Amino acid sequence: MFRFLLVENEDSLRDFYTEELREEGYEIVSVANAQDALTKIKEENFHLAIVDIKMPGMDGLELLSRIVSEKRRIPVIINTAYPRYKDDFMSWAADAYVVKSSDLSELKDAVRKVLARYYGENEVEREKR
Amino acid sequence: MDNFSLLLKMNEAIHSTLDLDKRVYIILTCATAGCAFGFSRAFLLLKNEDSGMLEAHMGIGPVSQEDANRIWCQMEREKKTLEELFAEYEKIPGRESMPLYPVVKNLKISLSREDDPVIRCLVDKKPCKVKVEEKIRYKMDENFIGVLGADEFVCVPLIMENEAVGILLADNLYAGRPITDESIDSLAFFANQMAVALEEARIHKRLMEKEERLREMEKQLRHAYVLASVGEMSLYLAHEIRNPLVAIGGIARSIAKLIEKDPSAVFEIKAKIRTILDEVRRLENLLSGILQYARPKEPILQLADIVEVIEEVCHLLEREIAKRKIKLKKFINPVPYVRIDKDKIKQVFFNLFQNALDSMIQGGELTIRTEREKENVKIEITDTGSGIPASDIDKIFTPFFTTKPSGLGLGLSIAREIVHQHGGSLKIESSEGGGTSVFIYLPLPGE
Repeated sequence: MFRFLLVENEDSLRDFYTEELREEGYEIVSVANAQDALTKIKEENFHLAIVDIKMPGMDGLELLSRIVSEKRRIPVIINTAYPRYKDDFMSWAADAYVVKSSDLSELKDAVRKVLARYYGENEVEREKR
Repeated sequence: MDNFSLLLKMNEAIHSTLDLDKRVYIILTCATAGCAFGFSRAFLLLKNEDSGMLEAHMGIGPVSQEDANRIWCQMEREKKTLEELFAEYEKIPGRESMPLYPVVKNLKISLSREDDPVIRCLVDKKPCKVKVEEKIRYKMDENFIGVLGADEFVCVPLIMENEAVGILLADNLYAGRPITDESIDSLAFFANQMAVALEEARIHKRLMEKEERLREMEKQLRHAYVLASVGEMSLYLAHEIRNPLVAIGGIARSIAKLIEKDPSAVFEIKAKIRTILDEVRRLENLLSGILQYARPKEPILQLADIVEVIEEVCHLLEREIAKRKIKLKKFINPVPYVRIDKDKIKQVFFNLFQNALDSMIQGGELTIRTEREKENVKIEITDTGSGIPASDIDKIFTPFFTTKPSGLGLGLSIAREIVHQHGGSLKIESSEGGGTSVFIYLPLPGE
């Protein structure tokens, strides 16, 4: 089973995403800020990180740059309320950029594509089973 | 007068100004003055690359034979010097009000008519005498010679860095004597000297226009800056609104799914509904925050001495007032207490005093007067500053309207808003150059 790290500071959104993504058959570990996310990444293994941009303390773009420079690089999906950071050159380092919506199909699509690109279609199918 | 001393005089006059029209006036005056070249009329025509025409810019001379006789008699009597003639320019309100303007307005010829002797003069950069009787031979522009109305005239080019920028045209329409080759030569010599001075003035004029445009652009930039901060604000709001909306919409969807799957999961459904309600409350709080920002809190009114508030603000601005060499005159009559929010009223006076100081760059007098007028306390703030032009007086209360190089244009509209919140009124009397008076009326407390 694929393990994701979800970084989202809003409680209700964190719960909502966690629930929806679990239903898709993924294992979700969630944290509320970037600092906790870095700690988790060092301690545990994840296949993917889903990261909000605007958070108290370190923001999502900085977290992204830290993740990218980690030895074991994991793919990152930016999930934010701001469409405008899409042109920020830092967010180019992300594997996908999704603007938050109550309809999660765009996020779920992005997740599938990024996983397929990183781990191959076959792997994705096998993990699902 | 010999050519050399004429040139010296003219040079001196021309370099006393950078005004293009005045320079042209001086040159044309020399061409027509009896003590100089003594032509009947003289015109300056300039190349206009935009319209593809050679266009008259100014003309000097009589408009009819009677006018000519009258002027020459007058000249004979008064024997004015060249300097006195040059000085007459100051009495003319503008180029358009000069007697020959109706001719000037229509005196133009297309630059493409290269056969016409006028344009030839420009192209060949050589002076020429034009005789209208030869018009067929030289394919002259009928309209041009019709407007000019002279049988014979002379054109000399104005050459600037090897390019002809225009021509000086002169005739002897009213004197009736032929144009001599000698007079053409000296006019040409003189025109050569003048071209540089004219071009300098033209460049100066263009520079001034550019500067004006720059100032205009600066103003637009300031406006854009205000809009940009509004943009920042909306970006913040977009984020603050989108997050709860995503949660509300998403959770509502998951409730719908849940009910389909397991209608008895009441406990879970309740929890989700609670989350939705929390998010809705958050949106409501956000909304009231925005409204708070857009419409500040109601003032807290308490009976207080307005004079005390005025003195406090005067004290705050004391150093600024002294630094700007402004004389503060206070005519403070004791007035009854009024119901005011001291902090807000302080803001009103601070804004108004600041405006007054900003309008008196060269120093001046700031007068503050308090008195009781009927059922009001009246406060007057008068400055001797630059005043407000009539064209701006309607806009001064518009938020973001400003004439100051830095400033958001909110001071006056906020001041008036606060006075209104106190049930009072604010009036402004001003004229450009005549200073500004602001009158504030605050109602006396009822029984």
